[in-house]
Amino acid sequence: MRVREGIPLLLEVLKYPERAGGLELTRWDALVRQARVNRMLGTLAHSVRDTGGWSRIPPAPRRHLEWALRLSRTHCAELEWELSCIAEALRPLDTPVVLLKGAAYHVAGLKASAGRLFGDVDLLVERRALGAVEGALMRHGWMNAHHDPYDQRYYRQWMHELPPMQHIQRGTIVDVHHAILPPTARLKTDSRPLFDASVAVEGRPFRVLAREDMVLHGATHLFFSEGEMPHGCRDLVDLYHLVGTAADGEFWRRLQARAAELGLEEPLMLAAYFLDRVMGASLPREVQAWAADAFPGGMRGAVLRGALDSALAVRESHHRTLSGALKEGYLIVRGHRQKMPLPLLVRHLGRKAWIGVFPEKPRGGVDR
Amino acid sequence: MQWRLHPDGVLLRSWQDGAAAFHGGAGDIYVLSPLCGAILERMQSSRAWCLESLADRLLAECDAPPPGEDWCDLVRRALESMERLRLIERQE
Amino acid sequence: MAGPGVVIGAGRLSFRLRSALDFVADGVHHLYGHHPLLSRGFADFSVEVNPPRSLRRWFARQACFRHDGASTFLPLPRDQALPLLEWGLNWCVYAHVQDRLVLHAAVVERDDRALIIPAPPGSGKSTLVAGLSCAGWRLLSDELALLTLTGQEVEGLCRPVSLKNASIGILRGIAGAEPFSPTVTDTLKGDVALMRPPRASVEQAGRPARPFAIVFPSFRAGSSPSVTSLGPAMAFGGLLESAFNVSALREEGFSVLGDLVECCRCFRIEYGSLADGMALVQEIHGTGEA
Repeated sequence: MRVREGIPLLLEVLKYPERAGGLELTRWDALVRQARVNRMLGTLAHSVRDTGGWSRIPPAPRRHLEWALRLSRTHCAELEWELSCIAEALRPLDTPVVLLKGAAYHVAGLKASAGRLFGDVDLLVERRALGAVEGALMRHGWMNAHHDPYDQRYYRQWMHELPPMQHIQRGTIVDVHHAILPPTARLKTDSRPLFDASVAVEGRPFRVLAREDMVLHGATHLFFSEGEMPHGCRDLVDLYHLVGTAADGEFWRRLQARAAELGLEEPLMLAAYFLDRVMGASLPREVQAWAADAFPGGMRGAVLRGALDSALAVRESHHRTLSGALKEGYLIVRGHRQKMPLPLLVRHLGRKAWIGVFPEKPRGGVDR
Repeated sequence: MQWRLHPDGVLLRSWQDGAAAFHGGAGDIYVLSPLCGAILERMQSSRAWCLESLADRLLAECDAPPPGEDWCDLVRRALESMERLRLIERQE
Repeated sequence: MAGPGVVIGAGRLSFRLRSALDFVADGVHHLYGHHPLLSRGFADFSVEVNPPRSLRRWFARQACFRHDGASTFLPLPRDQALPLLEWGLNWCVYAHVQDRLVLHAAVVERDDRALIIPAPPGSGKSTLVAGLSCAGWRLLSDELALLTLTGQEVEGLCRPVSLKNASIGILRGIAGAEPFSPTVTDTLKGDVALMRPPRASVEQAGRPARPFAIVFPSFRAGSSPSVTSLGPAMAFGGLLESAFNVSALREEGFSVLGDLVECCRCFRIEYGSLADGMALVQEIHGTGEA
């Protein structure tokens, strides 16, 4: 079920970083561009550096990798500061705070965090603690970033998170979740077992999800959130690093059992299917067979496969073709259907379409 | 009550016309008055200061204290403004 | 410049330029006439200036700057394509380069003493350095100064100088019409024209220079020339506003700026004519004579 025999250059080098040393300059030109467009230049730089082939890379492309390494160091330092500010704000509350996604990979020292550019910090807290957490963050300078009353109501009524909170001085954003899926979603999962299995981080007042739950959350987030997948390929590579590069049958058995417990078999199946199809990841044979078997057949499967192939593909350029946009448009509708009842969806999408009439504002820097 | 540098550390360049400070945690850079620079310099060479002994020490080293100002109050205001920047903090 | 485009070397960087617009290709060949064309397969930045792809192309004759396929700026009327390309290339440098501290500043050098001239638009820094470059100074940059993180050296890319309004006529009077692009009228900044940098400067673009002075210029028509000496803290504060990537470089960015104001003499100059400004710069430069 592979897309094709050869995988894109970026994925090939991420899988086999030792091959970077033998690339010609024209290939580096394509590789650096692919990595930058797909927000994985730092990831690439870390992978290549860690294999020791650094000195064999021609100086011109190596400089881009060095820039990316420096930027990722800065991102780490800024994330550390952000975490210390969040910790200070939440210290008086006696409630578990679980870090999700990028920040979690960072504090847990996982490979998926190496070279990453960190954006928002995502927290998971108990639903009953939401108000206290929101209040504590507000007392320390975070404000609701969505002033539109519609957005506020949308988040509070239908979502599994508070509206994003932005720090008034630093501009950084914290997303406070009480579940990994919205209450209106077709898939249901209870947050209780996630908290129970979560692991305390040494030396920090935070927790992270158990490794299996991290994979399941990553898969759920990739395949079952807002539908738009601006960094689909990067998120898939995160999953690739999270499941480990060896076909660890024991880990996958635990993963499948946990997915069944949490009702998250569908995202796990999609993750396995596309890790195999797009990345050629080494999965246990029975997992490959399970995913191929469980993937929808017929027209529905073909459309879903086409849309996800397009959304998870390595982009050669930021420019999107019309057919790509249409395929991903299908994903937006699909993603929302996973989350909202139909009448509400029509209301929300109608509004999104209206806002979408005005193009997204690029930076207004006419100057310079 | 005593004052000390933020535990994440502060890089300091102190000149006659003022000072520049880099906050090791936040990564922010501030340009400060010469008095703030002098205070941070003392704090770098020693762990914590109470207001009175800091003001005395600075006054002793200062050639011409600004006339007609309450020196101790001036130092306190400088400390408080640097506390708002989180360059320094109070230690009870 | 259609198809795969051309790769131009500028200082230590290279740019792959593409455009389907003939006048952009002609302009680039003219303005970058002294720059080397590179044939190796790698370019630091691949950019294009082309009509927008969206529906906009049917409404207005516009041009769009794209890097790796993404438009960084709002489209501009098509006749502003060349200035747009220059703004776009500046963006490529300050948004990506992380092994230099990138300052929004002009740099000129003579006798191994470089002057760094940081300033907001309208302060006359481009006019000043264009004038100096015609008077035998080496031009390193009119917009971006690249400071090395270790060696206390400054580099420039020696790209075309962007001139505005009355400056265009003044510099054409000095350098002749030949090095200039056609003047674009009615931009947000008024009239804009680009001037090709002198051949000797372009050929030395790869050689760094040693900073000697930092000069904050302020042009006010009719004012009499004056020089004020600045302390290091004042100069540091002024440079901080011009430093694009100082926060990305953290401690190192801070130290580079600190070292720079400590090793340089720092001044504010005010002048009312190009001749006065150039004389003040010569005077400051002269204080370094043994």
